Amino acid sequence: MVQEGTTILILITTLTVLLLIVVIIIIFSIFQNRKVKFLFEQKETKQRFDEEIIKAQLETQEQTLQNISWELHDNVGQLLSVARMQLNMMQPGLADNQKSLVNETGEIISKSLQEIRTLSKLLNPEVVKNIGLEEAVQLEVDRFNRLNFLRATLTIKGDSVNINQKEEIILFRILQEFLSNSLKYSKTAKLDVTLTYTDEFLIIKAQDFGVGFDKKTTKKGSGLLNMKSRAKLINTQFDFKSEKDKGVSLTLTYPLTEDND
Amino acid sequence: MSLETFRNLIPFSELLAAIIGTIYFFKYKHTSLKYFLFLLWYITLTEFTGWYVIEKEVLSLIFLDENGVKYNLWMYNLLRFITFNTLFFVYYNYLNTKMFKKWIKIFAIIYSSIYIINWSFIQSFIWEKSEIPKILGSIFLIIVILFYFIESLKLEKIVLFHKKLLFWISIGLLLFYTGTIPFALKYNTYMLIPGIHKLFLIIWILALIMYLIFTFGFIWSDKEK
Repeated sequence: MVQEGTTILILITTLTVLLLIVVIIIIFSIFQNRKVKFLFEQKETKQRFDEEIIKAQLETQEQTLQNISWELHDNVGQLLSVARMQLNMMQPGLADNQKSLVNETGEIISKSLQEIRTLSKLLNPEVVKNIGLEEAVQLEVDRFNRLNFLRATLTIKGDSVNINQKEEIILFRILQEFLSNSLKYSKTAKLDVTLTYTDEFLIIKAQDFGVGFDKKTTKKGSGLLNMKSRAKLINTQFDFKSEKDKGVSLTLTYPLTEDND
Repeated sequence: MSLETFRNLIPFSELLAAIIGTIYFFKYKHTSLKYFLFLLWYITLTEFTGWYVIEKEVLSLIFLDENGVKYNLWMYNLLRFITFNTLFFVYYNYLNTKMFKKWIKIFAIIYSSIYIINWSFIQSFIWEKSEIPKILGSIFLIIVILFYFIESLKLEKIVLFHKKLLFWISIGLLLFYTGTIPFALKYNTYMLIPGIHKLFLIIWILALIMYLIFTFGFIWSDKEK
């Protein structure tokens, strides 16, 4: 009823068709793989581009800060020094009641001079690089305490490790921005900064206990985004928490890898 | 291994695919792929009841011809009608390209009409396996699967296709439904030969491969978003 030829024909066509399908699947896989690879590369290029932009921004910013720092130190600082010297020269020829007044003015000028020097130090990236992260933070904390309306503390846990100077600056600037925001907006009476060194990470935690803000209702400012993208640049985990009426906290987890010098 | 025992493996491979699919149901329960699992269970059920009604001679569900040969083909004919429409439906829901969706709808309508016309005027629903609409359905299904391939190639997103359940389902379906087209042309002639012809092995091997690929896909795939 069925010829042998028909059976063979069916067999051959089946095999051919199957072969064709296998070829289609292989071609599909190759194209799909290539597409995924291409998209990956595209994504990486974009990421590199973004990183370059952030780096360029940071460099410009550091340059500007350095200029301001020099300006403060060499220009305003010098003028104040001269003013103090002149006051000192005036002193001997004055009556007693005027003397104490001039004395007080001299002290105010001295204080201003000191403030300007600290500020100049903290703004200058070279100085921060030289004195290191811990001391820079300590200077910042001391400066806040001199303002006399809040108590700032710095606690260091674990054995401190030297970290890459360029990245140190970035960490310091993020922290600086956070602290100055707290100072401006939080109305806090207390500011805590903790540096914790573990075997793998340096964990920087800063916290204020002020008014805080609601993350949902407050629009994301460029400050926060900036801090975030900078942290990403140095592979640092960025945790920002804010609760209304309870305060704001920032935790930076910076990996201590072996190639840090 | 005799041909008979080989054939008897098929229902168990279906059962295996259905059970593994149920275990990993959480991976795809939000997508239209869940209908595919329902289909697998329906196929398994048909296979086992089909065997049962012949073995136990459940006369209300089978038909006898004048020589006393038992026929349960209507179950399989109905199964095939539902299988193709469910598969069209799964792909219809899964794809996003408007033109592809439109064509799948047209395919489903043409296929269903041809099936009904075939039963009414050409092939018997009870005594013959409806091979003519099956060939048409297979061709439509191949085109629909190619639609799926084209759409995933065009997608501008990083998607690991070998972690997609539908990719593995598509491969299984492609192999089975293209591989069985040539034989389907002469299926009913071969059915009439006494004993079981060796050519049936093609269908069984392909079916076995298909269900094993489904099983693998359920296990290997990632959770659908």
